[in-house]
Amino acid sequence: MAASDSTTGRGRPVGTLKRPPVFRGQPYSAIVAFLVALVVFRLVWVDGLANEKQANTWLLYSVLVIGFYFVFGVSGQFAFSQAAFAGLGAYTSQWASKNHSFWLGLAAALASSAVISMLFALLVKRAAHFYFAIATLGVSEILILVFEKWKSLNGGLGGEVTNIRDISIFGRALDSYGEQFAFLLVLLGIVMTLGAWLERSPFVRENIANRDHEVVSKTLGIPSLQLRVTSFVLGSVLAGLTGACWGALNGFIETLTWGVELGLGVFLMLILGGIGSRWGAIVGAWFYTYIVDFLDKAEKEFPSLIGGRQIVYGGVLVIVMIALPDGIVGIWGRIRRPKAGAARQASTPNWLVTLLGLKRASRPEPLAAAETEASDDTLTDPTSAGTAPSAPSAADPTSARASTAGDGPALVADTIAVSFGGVKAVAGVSLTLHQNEILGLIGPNGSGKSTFLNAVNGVVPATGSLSINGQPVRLGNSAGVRKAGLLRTYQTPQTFLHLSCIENVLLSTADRRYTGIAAAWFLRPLMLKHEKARWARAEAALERVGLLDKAERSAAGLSYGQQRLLEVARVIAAEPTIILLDEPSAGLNAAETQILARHLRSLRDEGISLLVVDHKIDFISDLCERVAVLELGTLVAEGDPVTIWDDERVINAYLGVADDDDPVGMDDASATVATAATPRPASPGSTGSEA
Amino acid sequence: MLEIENLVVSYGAVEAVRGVDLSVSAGEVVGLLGPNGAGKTSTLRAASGLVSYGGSVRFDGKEVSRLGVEKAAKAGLIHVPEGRHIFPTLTVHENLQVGATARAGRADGYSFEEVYALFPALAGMRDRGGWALSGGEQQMLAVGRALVAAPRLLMLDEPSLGLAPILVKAVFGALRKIAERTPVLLVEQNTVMALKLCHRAAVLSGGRIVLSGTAADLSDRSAILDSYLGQERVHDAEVEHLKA
Amino acid sequence: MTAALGSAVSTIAAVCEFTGGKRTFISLLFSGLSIGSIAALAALGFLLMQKATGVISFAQGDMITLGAYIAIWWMRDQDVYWLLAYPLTLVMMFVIGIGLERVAYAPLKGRSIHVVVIATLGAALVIRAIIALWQDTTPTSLYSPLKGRDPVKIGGAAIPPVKIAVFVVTLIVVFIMIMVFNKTQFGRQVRAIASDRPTARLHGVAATKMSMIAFGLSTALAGLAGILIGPTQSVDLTLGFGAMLAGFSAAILGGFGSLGGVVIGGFMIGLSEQIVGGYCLREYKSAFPYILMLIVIAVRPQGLFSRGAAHGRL
Repeated sequence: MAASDSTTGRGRPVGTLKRPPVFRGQPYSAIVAFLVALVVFRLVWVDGLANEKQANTWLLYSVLVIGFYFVFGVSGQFAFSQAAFAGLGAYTSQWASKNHSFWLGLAAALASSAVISMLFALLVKRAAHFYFAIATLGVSEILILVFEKWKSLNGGLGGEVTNIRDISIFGRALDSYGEQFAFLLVLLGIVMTLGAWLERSPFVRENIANRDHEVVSKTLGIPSLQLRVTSFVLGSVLAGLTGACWGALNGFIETLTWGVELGLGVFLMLILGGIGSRWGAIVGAWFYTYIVDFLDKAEKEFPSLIGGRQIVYGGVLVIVMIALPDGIVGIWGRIRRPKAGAARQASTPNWLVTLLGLKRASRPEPLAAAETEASDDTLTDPTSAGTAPSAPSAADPTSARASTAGDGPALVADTIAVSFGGVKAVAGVSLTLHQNEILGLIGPNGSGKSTFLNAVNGVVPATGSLSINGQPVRLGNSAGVRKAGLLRTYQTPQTFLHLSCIENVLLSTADRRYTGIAAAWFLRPLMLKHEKARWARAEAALERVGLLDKAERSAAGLSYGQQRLLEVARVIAAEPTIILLDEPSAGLNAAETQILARHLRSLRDEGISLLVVDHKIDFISDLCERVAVLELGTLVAEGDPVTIWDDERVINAYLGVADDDDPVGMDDASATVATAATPRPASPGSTGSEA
Repeated sequence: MLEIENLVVSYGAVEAVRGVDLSVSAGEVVGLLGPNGAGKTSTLRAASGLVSYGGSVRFDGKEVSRLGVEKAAKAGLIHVPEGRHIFPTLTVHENLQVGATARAGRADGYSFEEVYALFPALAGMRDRGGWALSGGEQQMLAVGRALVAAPRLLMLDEPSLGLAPILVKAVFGALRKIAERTPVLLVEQNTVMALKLCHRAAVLSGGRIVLSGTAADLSDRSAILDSYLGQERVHDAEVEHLKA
Repeated sequence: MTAALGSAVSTIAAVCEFTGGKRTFISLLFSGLSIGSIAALAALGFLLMQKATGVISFAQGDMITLGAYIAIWWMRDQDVYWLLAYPLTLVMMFVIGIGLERVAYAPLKGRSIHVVVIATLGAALVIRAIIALWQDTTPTSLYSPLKGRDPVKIGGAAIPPVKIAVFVVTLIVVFIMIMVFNKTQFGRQVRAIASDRPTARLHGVAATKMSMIAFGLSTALAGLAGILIGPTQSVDLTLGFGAMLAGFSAAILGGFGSLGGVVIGGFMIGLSEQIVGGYCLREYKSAFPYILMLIVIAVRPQGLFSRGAAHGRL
């Protein structure tokens, strides 16, 4: 952080930012140094068969928990199935290697854990949080029962399998603990490297975004389900790998090993070590391995302590959750925080911390808080609401408009309707956004403005039809809306607090080639080539909103106004043709609002069409060529910002209309709805509301 | 009865209310008006103890933050939240029954039957689930649910929100009857209706009170409109006025 | 089409054995109902807690175990007559539940539900350990006045009275709970808190008191489940865990919403295990409830019996 602090306020020129923080540092040398340290540890401190075996167990657990790190730490999936998938690897491996080599068994283990975990993840793809957790408990029970009962798999001894073939390399069986340690060292090195490659690719940042806010990620074009399933399968395959090695190294497996106790243990290891990094997995595995040993010894000395183990596990879990939410690695990270470009978790509280509310996130209100908009259905008539989409005649007195009008409208929303329970929030709104236009959408609280945006964006169920740049797009298909070039911002800025600013912007870039796990591992040069183009684009977008000097900072460190600007940068980097902005001026002061208006105008000048929802009337009048007014989920007026305030219906929408002891006013009140389709209002003064 | 002094409410870095003074005495109906985002709802949420605040809010001389939300309600400070917040899984009648929790033995409140008499539309749907009500029915139920608690001060947050004019009229008709018996603090954006009901009112803008006085003083629409539209329009209007 | 049907029939014929006639069926039916009752009882406990506080407690399984052990302690170690020992157990469990609320829920107030869930996971491990220290880990058995009585003959099948008792008591408890939830002010307040906590508080519903009572009651329900399950099998530290998993499955089938739905879900769990598993793939019968649960999550994640999708999700 120190590095970026030193440049604060100066504004870094574009191109000086070589790569985002996570792509820097020396992961490979760190991995090599760690492996060397492990060798030294093994040679100097470990002696005696029991200790040698234990060191091997530690390395095995490390691989298992690194797998879980991708499932829970990166992707946020509450899974208890890691131990059961390790068991799956162990059983299929011993079965397949019975008459062949260990390597065939290993291949079978990887394949079976991949296939079954993928089938499982796809089967329960609609399950969220606890449902998913319970489903993983269920699948664990099923798998363990199969290990126990399936005779052709386990040889018919109730799940106990002995004489499993050793690991052999070029015909040489690894039958000493020393050789096995060397093997595991190489294995851990490979897994660490593969993990580092994922960290240094779009894969992890997109997973984090998807974990922290799935809906927003989807509207940015991130393939949500695919990422979740991939992470789960990745973790489960690493579990299968662990299991296969476990069986071969110990020569013996039983079903008890893969039960819920290890499932919880994996959980404990990751939380204890630190959920935010692969190193946390290794540290947690160390603690678990050695504390088990310590407790075993204590139980032998003091038989009355039987069961004390669980007290320790349980107590540790609770204490860590409350006192050390970043885990042991988090302590280290706290000490080392000043170093720029250190691991992700060092700069921000980890996602679990935010999720669990252990430290307050700086964002004031969640998206859902803005969803209170509602209107009544008893009087509104959806058919009367259709303001003709082709009424731009009075719309553009300003000459700023480019000559692209012939291309047809940018966005045509036709009779969009949304209802929640018995309440119709949007009752058939038809709105056209022309090319190169800034259209304002205003209306009192609860008139359905945000809901309308959500409907167009595909994040609430709606009826009606939608076409973007002449192409029809199905309502509810947020990925399709994004592909068609429509991006949006939110009433409260939806930035990803566990990513740096530049990573936030990188999420939305239109070029999504080589972002997957395969590219991260096997096509790194190509992936990096495309990443560099993405970095440049993201940098340019950040420069444009004046946040370039904050590029490496965590988005959590930004002020409210800066988070808005970051959202705008993210939208710009997406190369949109249409932008919807939901109350972009909320929380900004007058100067910031003017800067915002300037940005929006320059976007329009580049050929982007904008639909701006806001309640700062000055801002809208100043910015927009045309304004539409929404009340009770229907359009009541459309026109240029100067004349629209002469429209009595608009003033009534804002200030309310007279009540029952004012018959004229009452007539006008019903007229508000009934005359919505007519282009010109009744003459001013006819309401006599101050009679 | 309710005294608010120098109230400050902030969410993170955003200050929603910046030093508001307001009081409601027995028998009074007070309006709190203003545009979206002016801090009206935050003021009410502070007054009922839902959010922490700076400054002081006293109900019958007792600091609300010290009373806590439930005790303040039991003392008769009843807040009908913005967006109604009917319990969707409870029936209409059950919603009323839960509302009676805060009654705490006060004798002068509305009975269930009085509420049904006040809102005849609800009487026919006692057993309907809260989730199935329309916006207008929800609003009536929310008010009714507050009335059965025998409120000593009724705080209403935008009862006209998202309602069609005829329903706004119905709701305000009922409020007029209610106001004869119960003091009311009314947050509204429908200024015209609000001013007809209230004895006096304050207009909030940007978290501060920019205008206050008796309802008659405030009946000039243009002044309030200006506070909605911001200062620039005021200037424009003045310039135009001078030109004329 | 017919070929596929034929092969399906032959597959079923290969893995299923329809033998034993009516008597076997009736005895499987009652086994299923009693297992289903246990699942339903386990589910009712955490459902009550979830309704009032939003928390799904992973400690519920170990609370069931604890209930069984406390009953054993009263009857075996303290030699208290069962008629007195049962209520004493329930009262102790109620108090323990309030303790759990104070330790694992109240201090974490204002934080996300997830942290509380993980805390209950920790609490589960601690409870299990305390039982182990207190009563050691060797399997034991729980006395029941119905144990050793002559089986009841129903349709020619001999049904142990313990199994019938589980079924009957579950029905009674469910009936009482449905009445309490729907017809009492307490039930309405719990439902109000569950659906909109801040608004319930605005109307004077004392949220803290309610959550203490809810924890107490749900733990007492776990104790009742322990008392009823204990006599049907050997009692050890894992007694409650299986019941809790079955309860989760029942709750998912029922949609985490209506009590009646969850009870039917429990019976479906028990019957799928005993009746389907009684005839087909007998070895794997304990997997059937989980398979059923996974199918429901895949096809209808809001549960089979929940009315609105919006209310069913966690």
